[in-house]
Amino acid sequence: MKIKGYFQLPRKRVSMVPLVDVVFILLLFFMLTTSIAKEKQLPVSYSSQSNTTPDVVVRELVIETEDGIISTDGRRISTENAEDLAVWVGSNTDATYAVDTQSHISTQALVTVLDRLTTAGATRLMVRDD
Amino acid sequence: MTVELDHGRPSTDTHLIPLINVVFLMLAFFMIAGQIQKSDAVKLETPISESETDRQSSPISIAVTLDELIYVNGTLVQRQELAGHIKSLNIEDSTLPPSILLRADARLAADRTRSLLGTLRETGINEVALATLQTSGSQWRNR
Repeated sequence: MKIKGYFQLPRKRVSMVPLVDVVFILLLFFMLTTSIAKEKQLPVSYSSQSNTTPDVVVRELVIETEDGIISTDGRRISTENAEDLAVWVGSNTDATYAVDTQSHISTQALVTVLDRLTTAGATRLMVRDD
Repeated sequence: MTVELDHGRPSTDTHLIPLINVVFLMLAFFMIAGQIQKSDAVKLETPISESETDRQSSPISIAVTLDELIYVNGTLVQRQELAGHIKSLNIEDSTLPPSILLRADARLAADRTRSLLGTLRETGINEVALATLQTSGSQWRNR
């Protein structure tokens, strides 16, 4: 019998398949258990109409629409317009902003308006709770 | 009879290398960018906010679902019993001022949330924070 070629110990190849299995399981684990969104919190001050300190300048504002239009002192302001909002907040720097809502407004809209007021420079915000 | 031994043939595993590269990249992304967190017992849609304040652990956590079911630390509580239930909670860590983390569903009517804040004020707890989520690159939410 003629055997062509030469004999040598076969090279031990590390099989990739178990590695892929483990990596896929790890990937699945992290995809299912991790959250990309970061958990934060928004500190809320709250006050009723009756217990507001009299010497504090309070600007009452009511959220009228889901997209953040507020009414205050007889005028309507869109909080989406950051520049207008900053100008308005800038003219009332020492004021405390008491936020009220219409009945159809969602909590998300309330949070969004609080965010926008904070970004515009309002430092004293409270939510009317009555 | 001729027997040819072919040890030089490339393994079929080499075709898996691009796949493994991609999977490794995805794995690295989820490991670095994500954070493992305890799943909440009450499923609700958390409001999205720009707030940078990290969520603190609070002795009292109140969850309010869209159906206006109220859970205090995971226990279902009737609306009219809320103030009494909170007062009855024994907050062991007296070194910290009592605070409440309020997880209200984003779709819940804001006046319901405000009404709940009024109830919390009656309990004497002045530190309340709304639980929010900060998504990467979240901007104003247009509805």
